[in-house]
Amino acid sequence: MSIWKIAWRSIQQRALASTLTAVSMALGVALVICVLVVYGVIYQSFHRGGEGYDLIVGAKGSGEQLVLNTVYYLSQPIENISYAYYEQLAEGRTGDPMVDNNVELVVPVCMGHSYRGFRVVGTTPEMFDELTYLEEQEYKWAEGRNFRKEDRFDAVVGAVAAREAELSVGGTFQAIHGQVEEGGKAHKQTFNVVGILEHTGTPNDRAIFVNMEGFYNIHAAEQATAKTAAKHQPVEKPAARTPATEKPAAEHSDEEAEHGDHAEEHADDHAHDAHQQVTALLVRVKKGPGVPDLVAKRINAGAVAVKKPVYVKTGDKLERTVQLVNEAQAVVPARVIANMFEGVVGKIQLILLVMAVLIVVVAGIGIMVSIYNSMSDRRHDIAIMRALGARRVTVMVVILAESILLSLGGGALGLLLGHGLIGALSPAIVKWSGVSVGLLQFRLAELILIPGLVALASIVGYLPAMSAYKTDVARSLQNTP
Amino acid sequence: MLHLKDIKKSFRQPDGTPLHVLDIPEFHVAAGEQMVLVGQSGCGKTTLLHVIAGISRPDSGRVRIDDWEITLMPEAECDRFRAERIGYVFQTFNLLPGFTALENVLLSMRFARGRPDKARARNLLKRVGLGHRMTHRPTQLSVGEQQRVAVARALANKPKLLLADEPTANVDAGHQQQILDLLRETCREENVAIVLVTHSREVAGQFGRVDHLEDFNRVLQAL
Repeated sequence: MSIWKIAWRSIQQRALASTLTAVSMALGVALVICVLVVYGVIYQSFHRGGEGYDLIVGAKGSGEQLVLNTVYYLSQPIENISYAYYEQLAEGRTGDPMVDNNVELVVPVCMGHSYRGFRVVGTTPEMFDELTYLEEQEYKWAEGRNFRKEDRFDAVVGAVAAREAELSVGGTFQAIHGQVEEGGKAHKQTFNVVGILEHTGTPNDRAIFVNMEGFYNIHAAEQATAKTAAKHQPVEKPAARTPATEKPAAEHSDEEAEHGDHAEEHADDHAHDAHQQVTALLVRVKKGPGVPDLVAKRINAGAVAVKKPVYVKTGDKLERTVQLVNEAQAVVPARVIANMFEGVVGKIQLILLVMAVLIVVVAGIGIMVSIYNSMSDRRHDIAIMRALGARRVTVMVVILAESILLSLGGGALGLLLGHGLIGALSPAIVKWSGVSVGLLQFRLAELILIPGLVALASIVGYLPAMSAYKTDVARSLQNTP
Repeated sequence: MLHLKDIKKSFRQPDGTPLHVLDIPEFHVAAGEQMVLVGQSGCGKTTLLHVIAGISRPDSGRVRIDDWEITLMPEAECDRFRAERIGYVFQTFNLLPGFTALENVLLSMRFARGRPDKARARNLLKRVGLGHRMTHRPTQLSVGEQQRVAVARALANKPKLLLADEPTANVDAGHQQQILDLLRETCREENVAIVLVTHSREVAGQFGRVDHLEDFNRVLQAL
């Protein structure tokens, strides 16, 4: 008869107390499992977004905001960079061999419009024909096909956006200027849905993609209408401008914000101006160690520069001149995402994990209290075992084994409970995050639970085990239970 | 086979003064001998059995069983010796309630060296008439059956000495003789010496040697 069986018999003898103790441990472990899985879901959701390309090039400023905006379609739209910048980088005309030789593909994205709460992103067909997602998976079509470059008003829709915005192939929509909650108004231009993407588990599931040419044309068409109308109405004053953050990304440049006096002039050039701007560039570089960092470094050092109007103060006057300006920054999204994740989500996850571990520790203390309280009832049994020849160490080990069995039993129950819960919530998690989690999808970190629970059980079992160790056999035998 | 020499044992009372219980200059039991110890309640009979079994350490003196002086053994070694060489039958049976009859017998074997001999445990239970009750727990057994399990357990490791502390005190009259016969017969078959403590004159009258503790315990003589 093994020590484990002796311990198990003791647990059976106190079935109700043992069950309640194990259940409290199970709840703690289930919570740890849930935290680990949720962490994994958030981690994957975060990291999935930035895969498929190596660099994001966008207006100077916060790298985090550039990534949030470009990868996750979160935060307010950022400033834009010129179309000329995109052309230089895409066509390998920067003059910097490090950049020109290593940049493989540049896909532009333009933002500033939405439809039913989903971002409308202007881009080129390469977004889905050339770029990949998640470990080089190619985009697939649940319905229809990719839009063609020549079909300016065609659109494709992410899986979640299609479902929630009720868009299907053959359907049409009109993009809204900005966001609805910001008071955006619907543009007149209608887009035709030609494809619905298969579920990717990336933020692209929650976006609507239109041909960039059509995206620009939203304004061109309206500017043309405005011009026609303006011919029949006296110009009163420059049009009031909405804040830059609420503007469609491809509408206004920095200079406009700084020089309101030129608003009218810009309004005249608007269609042309808009055609020259993109929100960000998704850049794929040649494979090689450190290549993304080297290219990013060169871009940040000014490898790509475009001619831009600059106002210089000469005496009392502001004179407009044209200079070569480095207007963009390049970031490695994987690194920015990792930093954001560790900096924000990582800390929250740590707090959650600490809380869950504390619950397990409290459950462990529950085991200690349960066994320790039973010691007065069991002292007689321990004395019998000692009288039969059991050594002090043997009865001590029996108590520790009991503590370990309760912990591991509770832990196993917690694993089932935690994964059962995750399995039950799996459809909701997929819908919310795009990350599929299965009932039997175990995290590597869960392996720590086994030695962790054994260690915890040994610690909490020590006090009652010592009590068993010190049992006075002769006295306990005389005290008939 | 069993030899006690100058055994003294006392307990500390709540006021700190010692309570002398045993002062035995000499005590012998031969191999295979079956003897009875009688004495008044509280005269130290159980304490003497505890000292012989190594459950309690005497304040001074020596306990020798065969060639082993258990008073000189480290505690762990003494525990092992007790498991292998001494059988103990308690007044209140002291079966472990969470274990079946068979497991109670096997448990005793577990604490001795070597693997528990399941066949012997089954045979012993059959010998005491419980072949059909092996998987029953103590609460499912009658008082007489419980004590028979206790006898089987005491003999599980083929001891040389069996200590029985009023084994029939809690058993009804009908089962008393049955238990006693079982003990004596089994011990005779296996050449196990018996030291049996009892209050019962009927029980004592069946043994060839009856020692009164008052006769050789100086503590009682001094009272």
